[in-house]
Amino acid sequence: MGTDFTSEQLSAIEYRKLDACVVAGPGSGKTTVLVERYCQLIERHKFEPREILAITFTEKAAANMKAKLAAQFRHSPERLRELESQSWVSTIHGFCMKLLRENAIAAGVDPRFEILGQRESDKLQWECLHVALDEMTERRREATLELIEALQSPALAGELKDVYDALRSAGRSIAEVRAIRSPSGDWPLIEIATELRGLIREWPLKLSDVQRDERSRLLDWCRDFEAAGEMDFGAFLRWKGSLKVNLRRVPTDYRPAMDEFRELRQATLAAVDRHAAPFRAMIFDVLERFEEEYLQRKATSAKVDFNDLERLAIALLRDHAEVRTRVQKQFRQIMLDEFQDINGQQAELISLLRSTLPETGNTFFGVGDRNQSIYGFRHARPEIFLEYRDEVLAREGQSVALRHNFRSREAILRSVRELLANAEGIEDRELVAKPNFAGKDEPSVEILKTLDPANDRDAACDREAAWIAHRVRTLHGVLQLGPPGETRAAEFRDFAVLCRGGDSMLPILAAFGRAGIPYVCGRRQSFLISREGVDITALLHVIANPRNSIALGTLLRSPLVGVSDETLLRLRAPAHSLTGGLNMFAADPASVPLDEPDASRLRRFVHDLERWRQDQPIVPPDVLLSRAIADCGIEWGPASLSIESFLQLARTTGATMTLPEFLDELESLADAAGTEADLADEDQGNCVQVMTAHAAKGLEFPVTIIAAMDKGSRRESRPVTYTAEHGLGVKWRNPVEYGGKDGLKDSWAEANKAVLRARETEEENRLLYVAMTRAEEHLILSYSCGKSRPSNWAGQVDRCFDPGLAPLPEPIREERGGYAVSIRVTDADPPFLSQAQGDAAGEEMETIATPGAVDNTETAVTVTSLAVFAACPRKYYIQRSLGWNGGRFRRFNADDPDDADNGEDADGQDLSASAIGTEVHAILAGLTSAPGEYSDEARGLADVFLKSDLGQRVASSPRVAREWAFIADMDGTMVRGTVDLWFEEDGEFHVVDYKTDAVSAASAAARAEEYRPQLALYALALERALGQRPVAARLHFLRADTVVQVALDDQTLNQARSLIAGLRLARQQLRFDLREGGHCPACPFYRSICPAGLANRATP
Amino acid sequence: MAMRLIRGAPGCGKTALVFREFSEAVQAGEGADRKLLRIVVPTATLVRHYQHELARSGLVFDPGMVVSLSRFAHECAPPERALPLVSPGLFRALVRASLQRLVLPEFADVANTGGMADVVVETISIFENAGCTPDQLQARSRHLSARGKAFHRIWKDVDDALAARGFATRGRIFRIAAAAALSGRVWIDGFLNFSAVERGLVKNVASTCDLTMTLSDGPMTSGTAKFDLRRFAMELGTSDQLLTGSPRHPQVIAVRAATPEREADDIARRILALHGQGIGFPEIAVALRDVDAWLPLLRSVFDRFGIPARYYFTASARRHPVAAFLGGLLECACGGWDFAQTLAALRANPQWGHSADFDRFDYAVRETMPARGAEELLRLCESERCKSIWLREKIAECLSIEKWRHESAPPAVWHRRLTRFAEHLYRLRTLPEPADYSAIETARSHAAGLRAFSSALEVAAFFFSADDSSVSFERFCAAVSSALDDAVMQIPDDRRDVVHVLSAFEARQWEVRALFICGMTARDYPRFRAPNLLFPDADLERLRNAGIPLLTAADADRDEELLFDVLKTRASETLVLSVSARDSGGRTALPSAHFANTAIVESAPQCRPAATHLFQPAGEVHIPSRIGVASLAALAVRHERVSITALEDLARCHFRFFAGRTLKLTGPPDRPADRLQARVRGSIFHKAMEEWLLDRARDFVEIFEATFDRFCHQFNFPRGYSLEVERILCRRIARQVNESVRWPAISSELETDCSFTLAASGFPAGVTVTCRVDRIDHLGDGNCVIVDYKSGKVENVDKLLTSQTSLQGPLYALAVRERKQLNAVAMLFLAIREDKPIGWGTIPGGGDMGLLPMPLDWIDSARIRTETRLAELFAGDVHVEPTGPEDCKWCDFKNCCRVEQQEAELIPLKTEVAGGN
Ligand code: SF4
Repeated sequence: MGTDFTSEQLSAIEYRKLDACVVAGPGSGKTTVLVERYCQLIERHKFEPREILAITFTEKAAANMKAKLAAQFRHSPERLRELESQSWVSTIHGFCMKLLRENAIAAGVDPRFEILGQRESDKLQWECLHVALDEMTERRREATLELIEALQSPALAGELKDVYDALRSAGRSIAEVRAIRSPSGDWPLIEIATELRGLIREWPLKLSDVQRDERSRLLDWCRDFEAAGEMDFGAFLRWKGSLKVNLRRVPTDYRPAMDEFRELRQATLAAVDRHAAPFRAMIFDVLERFEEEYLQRKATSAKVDFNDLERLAIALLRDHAEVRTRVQKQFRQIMLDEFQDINGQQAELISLLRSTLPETGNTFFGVGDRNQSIYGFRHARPEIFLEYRDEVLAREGQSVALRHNFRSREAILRSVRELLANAEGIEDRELVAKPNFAGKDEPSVEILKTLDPANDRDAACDREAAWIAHRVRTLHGVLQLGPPGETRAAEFRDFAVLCRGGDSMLPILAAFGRAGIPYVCGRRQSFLISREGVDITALLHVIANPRNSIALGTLLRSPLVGVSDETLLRLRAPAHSLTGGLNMFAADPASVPLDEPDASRLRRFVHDLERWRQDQPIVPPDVLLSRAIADCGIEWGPASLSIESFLQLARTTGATMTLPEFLDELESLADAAGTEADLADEDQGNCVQVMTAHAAKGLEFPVTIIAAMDKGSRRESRPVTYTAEHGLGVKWRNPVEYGGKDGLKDSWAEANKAVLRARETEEENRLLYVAMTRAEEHLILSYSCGKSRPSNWAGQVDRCFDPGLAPLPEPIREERGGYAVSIRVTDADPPFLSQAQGDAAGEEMETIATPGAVDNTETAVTVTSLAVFAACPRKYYIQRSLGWNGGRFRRFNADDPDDADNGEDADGQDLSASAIGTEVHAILAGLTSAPGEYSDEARGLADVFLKSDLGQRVASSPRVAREWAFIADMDGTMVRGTVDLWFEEDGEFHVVDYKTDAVSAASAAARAEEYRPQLALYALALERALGQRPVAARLHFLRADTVVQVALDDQTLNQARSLIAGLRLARQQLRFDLREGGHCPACPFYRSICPAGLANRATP
Repeated sequence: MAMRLIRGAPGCGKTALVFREFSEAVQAGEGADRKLLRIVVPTATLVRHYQHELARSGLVFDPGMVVSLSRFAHECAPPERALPLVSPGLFRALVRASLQRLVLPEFADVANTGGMADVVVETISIFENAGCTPDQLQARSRHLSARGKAFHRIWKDVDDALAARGFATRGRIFRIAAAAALSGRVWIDGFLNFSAVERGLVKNVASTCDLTMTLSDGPMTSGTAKFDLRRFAMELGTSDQLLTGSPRHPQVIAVRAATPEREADDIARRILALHGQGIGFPEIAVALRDVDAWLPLLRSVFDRFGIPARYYFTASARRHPVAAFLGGLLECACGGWDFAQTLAALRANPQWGHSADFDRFDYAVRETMPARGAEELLRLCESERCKSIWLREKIAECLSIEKWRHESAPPAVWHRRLTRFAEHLYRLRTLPEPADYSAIETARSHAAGLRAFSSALEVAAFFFSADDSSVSFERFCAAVSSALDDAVMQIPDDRRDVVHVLSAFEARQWEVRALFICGMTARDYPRFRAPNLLFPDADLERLRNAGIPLLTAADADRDEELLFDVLKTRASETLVLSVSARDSGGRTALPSAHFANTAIVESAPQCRPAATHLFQPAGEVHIPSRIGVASLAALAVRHERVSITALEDLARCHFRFFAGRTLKLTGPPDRPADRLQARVRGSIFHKAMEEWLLDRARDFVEIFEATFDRFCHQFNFPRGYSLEVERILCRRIARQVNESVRWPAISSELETDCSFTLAASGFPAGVTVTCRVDRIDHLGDGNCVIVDYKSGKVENVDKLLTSQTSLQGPLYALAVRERKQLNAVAMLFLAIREDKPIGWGTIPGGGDMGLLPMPLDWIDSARIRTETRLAELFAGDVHVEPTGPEDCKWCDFKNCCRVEQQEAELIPLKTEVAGGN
C-alpha cells in the first residue's frame, strides 16, 4: 500500500486521545495502520518499544506485524535490536507467557513451565474426565446408573469437555456456574390447575355447547390433577400428556392464551429442573473432580494450557498490586487488534492492563470489526467490542472507520454486500474498492451448483469436488490477474479453496489428486492420509510389531517393498499368518519358494527390517525413517511434501516419544479432523491452498473458491450446552416415552438454545463474509444439492442468485446491480482433463552427489586397548571401542544374597582386586594419602617391589619416572598410555610394569607374553620422548614376586608398529575378527555379546 | 613471577606460539612433573584438540599437561583439601530437597516445581561465579529482599548438605585453588573472559607461576568483556606483546532459505561442494544456537547427504532405552506392574525386546490390558498365546525385583543391588561386525546409556545423607528416577574426518577453514536473557555495590552481542551465514541484524542427495491383481469351506476377500476402551437371543444382562462409566425385544447349521458354504420362515434389502432348501431395536408386515452370482474393485488395497468410454 494513507487511516494512525476505537473492514490495511502508528509512537513520540503492548490474535498476525516493523526499522540496527529484545508484539497468549515467565514465583507457576498444545490438552482433559466419571461410577454406582438412565445422551465426556472450555473462556469457575439459578424459576406443579382455572374463568359466560363441554372437561382435569396430589416426574409427564386442549373448542379470543398454556412450558421446565436436580449436582461434582485431576496432572508435569495462561495472568495482575502497577506503568500504549475476537476472560485481562489511573498515562487503541467475528466456537464475544465502541463514542464522540478495501475487485465486494444485506450479525457497511485491476469481460463472481437427482449426498460431494478441480484446471494459465499492463496468467498458488469444515475437504483433495493439481492443505493430518503418509505409517507399525499384518500387507504391497499378491499368498500359505510366513522366510528363505524379483526384494526387506527394529530405540525417529525410506529405494526431496511433513513431525513431535507413543500420536492426529495448522502466508510452493474458512482469516488469494457451502454446523442442539448468560443446560431423557428422540431440556438448556441459535446464525453469516472477502480477483461460490433446496450458506446463495433446480446446458451470465455473475448448474460429471501432475515446487531440483565412502577411522587409542586388540580384535571392539563392560550372562536373582549384597563381580572375581591394583600403583607412585587409606594387602604388595632387587636398583637410579603418562602420534594414531615406571641406569633406560594379578611363578613367563605388545609400545613412546630406546622392559608379578624380562628388540617394536597399523586397518574396514581359542571361556563376552561359542548356546 | 600477555588478531599465530614454547619446554625436560608445565584452555573439547595437535607435531608428552580451567583448578588443590566436584544431578537433587524441606513462605507455591530448582541452581552459579559464598551473602543480608533472604537459606542448606557428603561446588574448588601454592609455567590460551571466581585463580597463577596469557584482538574493542580481560591482565602487572601476523579475512556469504529444512539442505550442499574443492571435513564446522530445532535437523540432513559429522552435544539419558528398560522396571515395580507400563519397559530390552516371541507376548499383553501384577504377567507368559520358555525366564528375572518392593536397606546396598541388576538385565544381543559407522554408534549408545544409568544410581546413593541409614526401595527408586531425569549422555566419537557441529558458544574458540552459522534469526543473534527471578537487575546492582561482583542481565546481553563478532573471526576462508524465512512451525522469522549487513546474499536452491541404493526399487504404483497358475491350488485349498459372510466380502470386492479371508490380515489388538464395538455388541445380542428363543417365557433383559457380563469378563472391558453407558444403552435396546411380531408356526429351529455346496472349478464336490441360521419357523407343507436377528440401526438393516452384496437372504434360503428341503416363504431380518421385520415374502397368518415380494429367481440369481465370483477367485482374480464407495468406508483393508490409485487409473478410462458414447 506504500505510505499513501487515506484520511481515515491517517486519523487512526495519529489519534492521540485517551482511548481509540477503529472499525477496520476487510482489506482495509489495518496492519499497516497499526505498524505506522507503532513507528510514529517510537520515532515521533519517543516511546520505547517496551512501552507499547501490541496484541494480535494469531501467531501468524504477530509475526507478520513484527516483520513489517522490522522492515520499517531496517536501516537502524539499534532499533532492530530493541524490537527483538524489548518489544511486546505478540498474541495474547504470548504476552501472558512472557508476563508469567517474568513473574513466575509471584504467579505460583513452575518457572520452567511448558505450554500444553491444544491437542495435548484435549487428550489430557479426556483422560481426566474419564477418571472423574469412572471414580463416580465406582463410588456412587447406583446414583451413576440413575444418572445415565436420566440423560438423553449419556456419553458425557465430550460434552463436559466443551462446557469446561467454554466456562473457563468466559472466566467463570465451576462453582459460579453451579450457583446459577434456574432461568425459569420455580413453578409448583399444583399451580397448573389454578392457572388453568384462571384462564378458563376469563372465558365469556356465553359459550357454545362444545365450548362448554371443553370447559367442563378441562375443569375435570384440574380437579383430578389436584386430587392426585404430590406426583413424581413420570406422573407429571403422564398428566401433561392427558391434557389435550382442543383449540377449536376454545372461544376465539382465548385461543392464544390456551395455546400458550397447552404446552405447559414453564411448568415442564420447572418439573424437569426438579427431576434433574440431583443429577445436575452429580454433573457438577464430576466437573469439579475433573478439574482437580486436570490441574494436578498439569502441575506435576509443569504444563499450562492456553486458558491457564490467561487465567494465571489475570490472577497475577489481580492479586499482586505491585506487579499490576508496574505493568500498567510500563505499557503507555496498548494496541489490540481483532478486538471482536476477544472472550470474557481475555477482556478481564485487558481491563487489568488498562490503568484507570491518569498518572500511568496508559492509553488503549482497539481495532476490530464485528463483521469479522468468527471465533464464537472459541467463545469469542463480539459484543465486548461493540460495548467498547459505544463507550468510546460516548466519551470521545467518535470512532474511526476504515471503509476502503485495498484487496478485492468491486464486483466481489458488491456480491458480498448483496448476499449478506440485512443478514443477522452483519453490520451493513459500505466497502469501497480501491485496487486497480485490469479490466476483464468474464464475471468475477461465479456460482457453481452441482445437482444429484438421486439425492446421494456422497455422490453429490464427489461431483462438486470434480467440478472444482475442473474449474481450477480451466482457469489455471488462462485467467489473467494483476493490474493493467502487468497482467499474468493464474498459477496454482493463486487459488485457495475454503471449506466450512475439515471433512468437506477430503473429496476435494481426492479430486485434486486425480486431476494432478498440486495442493497444500492446512489440515495437519492431510499428509498422514496421503498415500505416502499411509505407507510410512504402515512401515512404522511394522517396525513396532510386524504382527500387525494389515500394516505388513500394506507395506509389502507399497512401493516401499512392492511384492505381488501372489507372493503374499505364498508367504501366508505355510504359516499361521502373514507375519509368521515372513518370519519363516527370514529364518530360511528357501523354506518359502518365491519367484524373482520378489524373493530378492523380500530378502532385502527382512534384512532391513531387522536393522530398523534394532536401531529404532536409539536412532532418532526422523533419521530412522529417512534411512528406511532411502533403503527402500525411494528418492525424495523438497517437493515430496508428504514425506517431508512426516519427517518433520517425526523430528519434532516424535523425538520425545517411544515408537508406540508416536504411533498413537499419529492416530490421534489423523483423527483430529478439526485441527488445523496455521498456513504460512507466503511461499507454499506453486500449490492450491485448501483450508477451512476460519483458517483463511487474515489471508487473501487472487482466486477464492468457497466450496461445499451446503455443509453447516449446529451446536445449539447438543445434549449439553453452556452459555455465559445462563450456564449449563442439559437435555434429559423422557422417562415415559422410550426412544423419545429429542429429550427434555431443562430450563438452562432451553434458555441456552435461544442464545446459541441467534449467535450461530450471526456467526455463520460473518464467516461467509470473511470467506468471500478473502478473494481479490475471482470468487467461486460452490455447493451441491439433491432434490430440495440447499441449506446453510448454499441456501443464502440460492435465495440471492436463484440459479434454479434444473441443469443448465451452459453457464449463464447474469447482470446484477452493477456487476455480473456467472451461473453454472449441472448434474453431470465434468469432462476429465488429463493433465500431468503439476510440480508442487515449481522449481528446479538439484541432485547432489554424496561423498560415497567416507573415512570413519578413529584415530585415538590407549596402549591397554591396543593390547586387547592384539589378543582379540573382537574383544577390543566390544570392550574398548564400544565401551561395553557388561560381563558374561548370569541369571539374575533378587533373592540371591550374592547378587543382592556382596561385592563379587560378574566374573566371580573379587571386586577389590582391581582396587588393590590401583592402590599398589598409587603407593609405588609415591602418592600420599591419609593414614589408613591404603589397605594392608596393597602395602604388602608394594613392599614386595620396594624390597626386590629391581626395587633397589630403582632406588639408586639417578633418574626415575613413575606413572609416566604420554600421548604420541604413532603413524597417524594418537596413542596414549601410562608407564608404571622407567629409570635410568648406566645411561640406559629400563621400563618396569608391576602386576598384581594372581599369577604363579610358573605361569609368569607365559603371562608376560601377553604383555609384550604393551611394553613394546611403551618403549616406542619412550624412545621418541627420550631420544633413546630403553634396553629392557621388566614385568614384576608382585604376588609371585617374579620378574620376567621382555626383550625390546627391533622385531618386538616392529610388531608393536604393525599392531597399530592393524588396528587402523580394522577400523577402516570395520573388521574386528574373532580370535576364538582356549582363552575364550575366560573372556567376559564369551557366549553372550560375542558370537564365539554361539553354536553351543540357545539364543532367543 | 613473570606474566606475559600475547595479543593479536585472530589467526595471527598466538596458539602456534604457545605450542612452540610448550614443546620447547617439554623437550627441555621441564615437564618431568606434569604440574610444572600446563596449557590451560576453556573447554574439554579444546583440550583434546590441543593434545592431538601437539602430538601431531611429533611431541611426546603427558596429555595431562593440557587441561581445562576447571580441571586445572581441581588439580591445584592440595590433596588434603581436594574434594570431588558435585555432579549436576546430585546438586540439583539437593536443591530440590532443600526447597521442599525448608518450606519457605516466599516460595510456597513453587517449592515443589522442577523449574524453581533450576532457578536456584542457576542463581547459585551466578553467585559462585562472582566468588561469593553463602556466608558472604549473609554478611550483606541488609541488601537482600525477602526473596533474596529465602534464597540464601536454601543455598546455605545445600552447601551444608554438600559438605556433609564430602563434595564441593565448582566455586569452592576454584577458591581453594586460588589459595594454593603453585609453581611452574602456565599458558592460558583461548579465553575471552573470566568470571570473578576464575579471576581469583588466574591471579594466583600470575603471582606464583610463570604465566603466559593470550588475548584475541579483533573487531570487538571497547566496552566489551575482552577489554576487561586486558585491563585485568594489566592489573596483574603483565608485559604486553603484540603479534602482527596476518589476520583472517574469510569470504562471507549470506544464504536465505524458505524453511529450516531447505536451509539445512543448502548447508549440506555447500559442505559437499567445499569438500569437492579440497577442504577436508575436519576443517568445516557448523555453529548453531537453537539446539532443539537445529541439532535434529542437521543430524538428519547430514545423515541423508552422507556427511560424516560429530555433534558436540549431550543427550538426555531419560529417552534412552536403558532408562526406559531399567528405570522403567523400577517405576513399574513401585507402581505394582501395570501391564501397559511394564510392556513399554520390557520392550526396551535390546536383546529380546524385538524378537518374534516378544512381539507375540506384546499382543497378548495388550489383549489383557488393563491389568497389573507381576504374577499375572508371568501367568500370561505361560499361556498358549505366547508360550516361550526363554522369554518367560527373561521376564521372570525382570519381575524378580518385586521382592524388594517392600524392603528397606542402606542406600549403598540399594546402589550395589541395582548396579548388579542393571549389569545382569540390560544386555545386548550377539554383536556382529559393524556394517557401517552408524552401527558402531548404535552399539556404543547402549554402553553410554548404561554409564548414564549407573551415574544416576550413584547420584541417588549420594543423595541420601548419613542419617538415612535405611531407605525404602520406593524412596531410592524415586531418587534414581529424578536423577535419570537430569542425566545426560554422550556417545564417544573419535573419528577425525568429520564436520564439527557445535554450539555457537563452543565454536567461539575454534578455528576452521569454513564455518557455517545457521538459524541466524533476530531471536537467536543476539539472544536476550530473561532477568533472574530471584534477583532482578536492581537487586544485583545493589549487591554489586555492596561488593559482590555479580554480572547482571545487561552484562549477559553484552556477551551475547559479542558472540557473533567473535564467531565471524573463526573461519579462515569461508563464512556462511544462513537464515530461513519461516521457522519450523511456519511462522515468519526475522533475520538477525548481523545477517542483514552481509554483502553477498544468495538464496538456497532446492536440492536432494543422489540416490545411493544399489537395487531396483519397486517403483511407482504397484497394483498386482492376479494369482498365477502355480499358486492357484494354494489359494483354493484355503477356501474349501467358506462362510456366507465371507462370500459377502467376496461380492463386495475381490481384494477385500483376499486380504481378510485368504491372507487373514489383522490389525493390532483393540485398545481396552475400543473393545466393545458394534461387532461385539451384535454377538452379545445374538448370544442372548439364542438363549431367549429356547425359552421365551424368560425375561430377555435378564438374559441379556447375564450375557453382557459374560462378555465383559471374556473381553476384559474396562470397568467404569463408559461401560455402564454401553450396558444401559444396550439394555434399552434389549427392552424392545418382545414377541410382538408373530405368525403361526408349527415349530422353530434355532441357531441351525445349514451348510451347502456351491459349484467351483477345481472342486469336484463343490465348495462348502457354511452358515448358521438364527431361526427357522416351520409352517407345515414344507414351508418355512427364515429369521435373522439384527441389533444394528434400523436404517442399516433396511439397506440390506437393496444391497447388491448382501447375500444372507437368498443364500440362507438356498441353504434351508438344500439341507432341510424347506421352501422359505419369507426371509426376514428382525431389527430388534424397533422389533421391526424387514425382508421378503409373505407369511401366512402373519398379517401385512410390509415385506417386499420375494424376487423371482432370487435364490438362483444369488447362487449364480456367487458361483461366478468364486470362479473368478479360483482363477486367481483378487483385484481391487469395490462395488460401491460405501463398501470401502468401513473396510479394514482400505489402506492396504490402494483403491484410490485404482480410481485414478480408472477415471480417465471411464471418461473416455463416456466420451466415446
Ligand atoms: S477398501 Fe474398498 S477396494 Fe479396498 S479392499 Fe476394501 S472394499 Fe476393496
